[in-house]
This record gives sequence, structure tokens and C-alpha cells, in this order.
Amino acid sequence: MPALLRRFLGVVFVLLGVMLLIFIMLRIIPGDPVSVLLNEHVNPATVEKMTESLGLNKPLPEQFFSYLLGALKGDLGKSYYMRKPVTALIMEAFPYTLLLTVLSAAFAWAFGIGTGIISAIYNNRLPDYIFRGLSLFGISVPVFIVALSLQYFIYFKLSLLPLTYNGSLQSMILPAIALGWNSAGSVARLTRSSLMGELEAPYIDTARAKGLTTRQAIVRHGLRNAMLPVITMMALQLSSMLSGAVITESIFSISGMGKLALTAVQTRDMPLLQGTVLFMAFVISMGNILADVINTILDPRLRV
Amino acid sequence: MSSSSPSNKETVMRKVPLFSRMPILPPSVTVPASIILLIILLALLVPIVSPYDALRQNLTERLSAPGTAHILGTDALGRDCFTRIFYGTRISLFVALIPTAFAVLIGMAAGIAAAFFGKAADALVTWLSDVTLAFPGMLLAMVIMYSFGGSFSSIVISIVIMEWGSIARIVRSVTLSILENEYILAARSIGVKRFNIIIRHIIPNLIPTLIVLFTLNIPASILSESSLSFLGIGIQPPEVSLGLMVNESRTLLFNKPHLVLGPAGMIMLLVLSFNFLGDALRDRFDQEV
Amino acid sequence: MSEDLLLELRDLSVSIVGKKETLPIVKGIDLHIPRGSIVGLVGESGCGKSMTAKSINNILPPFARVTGGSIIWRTEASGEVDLALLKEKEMRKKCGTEIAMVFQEPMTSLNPLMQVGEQIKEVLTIHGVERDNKKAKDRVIEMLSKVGIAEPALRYNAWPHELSGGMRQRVMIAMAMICQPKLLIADEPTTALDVTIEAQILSLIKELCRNNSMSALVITHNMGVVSTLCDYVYVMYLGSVVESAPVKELFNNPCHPYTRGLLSSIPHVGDNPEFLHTIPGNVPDMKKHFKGCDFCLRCSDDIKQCFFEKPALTETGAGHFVRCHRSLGA
Repeated sequence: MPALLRRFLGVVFVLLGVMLLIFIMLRIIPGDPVSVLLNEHVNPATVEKMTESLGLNKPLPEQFFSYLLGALKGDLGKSYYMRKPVTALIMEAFPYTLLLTVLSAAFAWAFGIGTGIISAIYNNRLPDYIFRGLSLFGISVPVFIVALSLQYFIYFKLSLLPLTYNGSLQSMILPAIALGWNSAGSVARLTRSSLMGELEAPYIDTARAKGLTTRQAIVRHGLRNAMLPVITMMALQLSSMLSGAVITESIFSISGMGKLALTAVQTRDMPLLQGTVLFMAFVISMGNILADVINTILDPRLRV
Repeated sequence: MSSSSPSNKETVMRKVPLFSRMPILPPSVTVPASIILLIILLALLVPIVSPYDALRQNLTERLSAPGTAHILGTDALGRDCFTRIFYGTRISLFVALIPTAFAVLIGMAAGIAAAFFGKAADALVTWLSDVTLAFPGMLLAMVIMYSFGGSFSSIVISIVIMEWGSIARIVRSVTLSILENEYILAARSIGVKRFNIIIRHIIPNLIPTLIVLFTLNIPASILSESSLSFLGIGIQPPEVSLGLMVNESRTLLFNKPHLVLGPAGMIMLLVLSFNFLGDALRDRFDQEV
Repeated sequence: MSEDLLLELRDLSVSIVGKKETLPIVKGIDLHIPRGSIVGLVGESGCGKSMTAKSINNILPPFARVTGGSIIWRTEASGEVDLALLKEKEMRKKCGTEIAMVFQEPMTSLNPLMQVGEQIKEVLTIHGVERDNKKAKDRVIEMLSKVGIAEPALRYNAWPHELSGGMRQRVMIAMAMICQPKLLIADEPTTALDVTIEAQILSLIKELCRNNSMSALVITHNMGVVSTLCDYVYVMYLGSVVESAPVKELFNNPCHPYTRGLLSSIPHVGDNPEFLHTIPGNVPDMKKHFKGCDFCLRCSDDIKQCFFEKPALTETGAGHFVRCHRSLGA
């Protein structure tokens, strides 16, 4: 599979670019990070010592290179604020984000693909109008509004589920719906348009001519073809889901990656922010590769 | 023949699609467009229409219920919600238009360059857009907020960086398909300069795509700003922003839900209108973006 | 006589049904397919010939509908059935087993994500003809070799994109033939193929019809295909049959000016290469209702009556029907 190999190399280059970009962006900061980190009233000697221990006095290319080497070995530096290795903090936080993302993706895909199919089959009839309106509504509501509405109605009015995350799977339901809401909308829209395109394809006529009912033709032939672009989009959505995770985790008090990044910004913890962002970019790239692999398995035309 | 042909050619060239394709606008375009115009108008006129100041606190009128004096009530500091919503809408509208326009312009330039100026330019643009798309947008914005602080310009920069990449990708592929047309080959074969090909053939044909991309990216911009401000790392108080208003009223969610509902409803109305408009324009121009 | 007819279209109308208006695309045609014979349906693109074909096994697109007439299907097993009245489920039982179809685009007519052998086998499994997987597979491989595919066992696992256009059309034919149907509908079966491949596919279809005593309805715009393949021809123009005759009779004695135009549009070696014969004008807009003959605006032979009255389809010789005022001696 040279195509996949090339893709993999591309990802390595992209990650290198990601690292460079974060590195540059975090160092064009006005004022030096150490005086932000330490209290304002410290003697210059302490500042100097701190600067040296963090390696901030070295030239930038050298700093980048040593950061790169460290990252390859899994060492992303040490958090200023929490005084722990960044890698350890990420490993603590990531499982929560993973659980949240997997649950909300499951919700988004099940709901989005299901309603998208119904919309396509009932094209321009009542169910289509309902689900189309719902999906447009879905992509138009910011994550934090979905989250707050769920808290208001499900927790406050109906007392069905807990307000915030408390470690139980139950308390992860609201965050997962809040985070998956947008994606469900876009998955539904893409599924609908993609499936409608496939329903016009001549092979559907062939399937019906050989004796499949329209429904069988859709399920056995149309759906698989229609899913190819949807799978690609799902991978792209991983990125917006991780974005939304920052907000969801903050509203539902989940100590995941988003919360970690937010804390890093609020406490001006550069190594932590750098590490979390880099790690997320890594996860997203892996997601894209996974989507490519799945598409290659499903689509023989890609196996050259 | 030799004297008349250049002018003939020009008239042919100027008859470029856009307006000939939209004789009468359907309601799917006009309805959301009028809602948006109405909101813009109200946001512009709010200092005249409203007797209240968005920032002045009035602690004697804290948390008053919606009524005749204050249509949507007042917040925890006694400020009129209705007035504040429209001041916040100004920020949303600004963010909707300016950074999105920048992102479209940069994306257009990069996309054309990638399609038109050889392999090296293509590889560079593709790499750069891949790099920015590998970030979760919110985290990229957080990095920028970290460096430049939660300010207006940081938000503009974040939105441009978040959005240009996917725009550039689409412009690149559309440009490539335009370049496949025979008239481009004809223009090249008679020695029309590259710059002229871009100005006269590519950009006019890209305009429908760009309009649709612009409209479809506006909701993303509005959502980004309101999310950042909601998290407290975007627009900073005492400035007014819809996301910030939701954040400030969050603690009162269960007691005074209308304080959250007002700004949240406005965000949704704006985003929904732009989404409807974008969809309608996309169908109208028959664009696949 | 009607006992010998496998399929009989009686006054069949198909329309595009919109929200505000319905647009007739097939305007009441009668068409007979006798057992064991190959019938051609010829006309320009957009004349309704494909819609006629698709109405037989009801794979019309969602916007089109049979709006009148009947489709009589006669078999020993089930006697006389009007296919236009059949429920979807009943119709699907006949598709693939009794009525099969081959399409124009062999590339897009096969599902790109399924191995060709599996796609053929699906016909056997959905109709429950062969439940045993191994036996079904053997039957598919046997069929593949019957349609002239070399190394059929190997090709069974091929993906559509790995095969050439001619091979894919052979796969389509194998799929159509696997249940030994009584009628094969071939909708422009060779339009997308090279001329040499076209000849091979046509002789394959002819041979299969002979050997299996199968009837066929061949839709085409190519008079060459008609002459090599068909026994009887219907010429369609703007949703109506304008002339129908046995093939030899039609080629020797074309009566309708449209048929004559089609025949003289075939270039022959030795023709003046500077001059290609064409039929003047374009197919008129179907939306406009015109009370005269639909062809009169493009006709070089028209008379006054043509503008005011639609001609009726009239028998002028043995099995030769024409819809033209002129040929009726007016």
C-alpha cells in the first residue's frame, strides 16, 4: 500500500509543521514567560535560575530541536504550574476526553446517519422536512447552548440525569449529547445528499432490475457507496469535536484534555498548552489516517 | 476583422455568469437575507432606539423581570438585556463579516496559487492548510489568546487561521477544474499572460464559489467568537458579546433562564439565518462545497 | 395470435409527474414482442424509448409514472398478467427471473464496491433460486464462461473497475441471463463500447436469444444495431410510434419521412464525404402542445393537413404500420 505509506509520511510532515507553528506562536508572546510564571516581586537571580532550568535562554532553533527530540521520546516537558510532567498530565486527562468523544461520536453518527437516510428516502416529503430542519438547527446551535439547555431541561426540569460529570457513565450522557449535537446535524446533511446522489446512480436501476426492492437496493448497494464521503467527514469532525470538548468539559466539569488546555491558558502554563495542543493535533491526524484505512478497505478503487 | 475582434472578445468575456444566473431571487434567499438585514439595522440603530446604556450599571434595578420598562429584563448588575443583546450582536456581525472576508481572500489567493503556480506552490499551500486543519480550531484560538491576550484582534486572527485552510482547498480544486476548460487553453496558446488569465478567467468564474464559501463560513465565525467569549478567553468585560452574556448569566440559569435565552436565541437566529442563506445560495449557484 | 405474444404494450402512457403539471413522455404506444423474437425500438435521445423500457419492469425514476394503458405479460406459468397493475413485491419477483435488463453504461451500472461475481450471485440468492453458496458460485462461474469471459473463476473476484468496458457488459449480460429469463431488455447495450466490441456483444446477445429461446427488446438509436440484431422494429418519435415493420421491410421500404431520415443519416463508404445527411431541426419541446403531426416542422414532405390533424397509425402492408398523412395517399 504505497498510497497509505505516502499518506503516513505526509502526516509526519504535517505534525512537524504543527509543532513548529505552536512553538513559534507561543514564543512571540510579549513579555517573557518566566516573569509571568513567578510572582512579580522576585529577585532577578531567581528569574535567571528559572529561565535556565527551563532552557529558555538557549537560541530558539536549539530549543525547538530539543523539544522535538523530547517529544519523540514522549517527553513534552514539565508543567510550570502543576509541577508535573506534561505527558503524565495528558495521560491522566485523555481517557476522559476519549470516552466523551467516543460516546458523542456514537450518538452523532447513529442519529445523523439514521435521520439522513430517512431524509433521503422520503425526499421532499414530511419526514425529510422535519429531519432537514432539525439538522440545520443542529448545526446552528453552539455547543454551550446545547449544553446549558440540556442542563436546564434534563437536569433541572425533569431531574433525569446528573448536572455535571461525577464519574458514572450516566453522567456522561448529557455531555456526549451536547458535544455530538452539531456533528449529528452535519452527518445527517451529508448522508442525505450523498445517498440521494447514489440513488440516481445506474447501479441502483441494475439492482432493481435484478429483483431487489427499492429498499433492498438502497440498503445493499446505495448505502455503502454513500458512506464513503461520510466516513471522510467523520474524521474531519474529530477536530471540531475536540474543539467542542473544551467547552463541554468546562461546563460539565470533566477533567479531560479541553479542561487541561483551558487551565493551561488561564494559568499561563506554556509547556502544558504546547503539549496538549500537540497531542490533540496528533490524535486528529491519526483519525484522518484511520478514515483513509477504512475507506481503502471499503473502496477497492483506492487499492492501487 | 482584426480591428473588431478584440472588442468582440471583451464583450463575450464580460458576460460572465453571476448576474445572468439570478433573475429573481427565491424566498429561500430573500427571507433569511431580510432577517439578517433587519438584525443589522437594529444593531446599528440600537443607541438611538434604546434609552439605556449597555454598560451603565444600575444596582437598584438588578434582575428585574421582563416588562414594559425593560423588554427582556435586566441582568445581575441592572443593565438592560435587550440593549446589551444588540450591542453584543454588533460584535457578532463584525466577526461574521470581517474575519470571514479576510479568510476568503487569503484562501482564494492561496488556492489559486496552489492550482496555478506549479508543484512547489501547491505543496506549500497544501502543507500549510493541512497544518492549520490539524489543529482543533478552539485550541488554536487558545494558543493565540495565550500569546496576544483575549482581545478583538486575537479573535480576528484566530478565525482567519481557522478558516483559510479549508477555503484554500476548495478554491484550489475549483480552480483546477476551471483550468481544464478549453478557453483557458486557448487563452494560453495565444499568449495571454498568467496574471490576465487569473483576473479575467479564473476569478470571475470563482465568484459564485467565493460567495457561497463566504456565507457558509459566517456561522462558523460567529460560533467561534461566541464560544471563545463564553469560555472567558475571547471578548473581555466590560465589552459586550453574546457569548460573554451567556457566560455571565450562567450561574442564574435555573432561576432566571431568560437571561441566557436572550443572547443564546440571538446567536441561534443569526447562525440559522446565515446557514439558510448559504444553503439557498449554494443550491442557486449549483456549487458543491 | 395474441397467445404468441410474450409481451404486449397496450396504449401505454408514461408521464413526468410534477407538482403543478404532468408532462407526457410516452404517449400511448402499442408494442408487441412475440415469443423468441428480437424487437428493436429506435429513436433519437429523449423520444421516450428508455422510459418505455423502464416502465416494463417498473424501474422508472421517482418523477415518472405509468399514467395509462397496460403491459400484458403472458407466460405458461402465470397466464396473463398486467405488469402495470402489479404490486412492487410481485414485480420484483419477476425481475431478474423472467424479465432481465442490460444497461447502457457498463461502468456505472455495476456497483463499484462489490465483486462482479457477487453481484451476479445476488440474483440467485434474492430469488432463492440457489441457496447453497458453493453451487450458486459454480453457476455464476459457468455463466461467466458462457458469455465469453476467459478465466471465469478468477474473474469472479474481480472488481468492476478492473474490467474493460466490453468485459463489464459481458458481466451485465451474465447477470441478466443467470436465471434464464424469458425477456431481455437491452437499453442501448453497445452505445458506450468500441465498434469491434459492439459487434461481439451484439452477436453474443443474438446467440443467447437463439439458444435459450428468449425474446429481447433492444433500445437503440443506431440503425446498424437494428439491422444486425432485430426481427421487427418500432420507430419512435416524440413519445409515439411513427412506423413499425419487419426489419427487411423497414430498410427496403421506409414510409415515414422520419424513418427515411434516420436511414439516410447512416453514412456509407463511397458517399460524398463533404456532405453528411441529417434531419433538419431539433426535437421540439415536449411541453408545447401541437395539434398537428409532431414531425411536420422537420418534415420536407409536409402537406397542409399535417399542421391541423394528427395522423393515425395505419397498416400499409403486411405488418407494416405508418403514422403519416402522406403515406396514406392524402
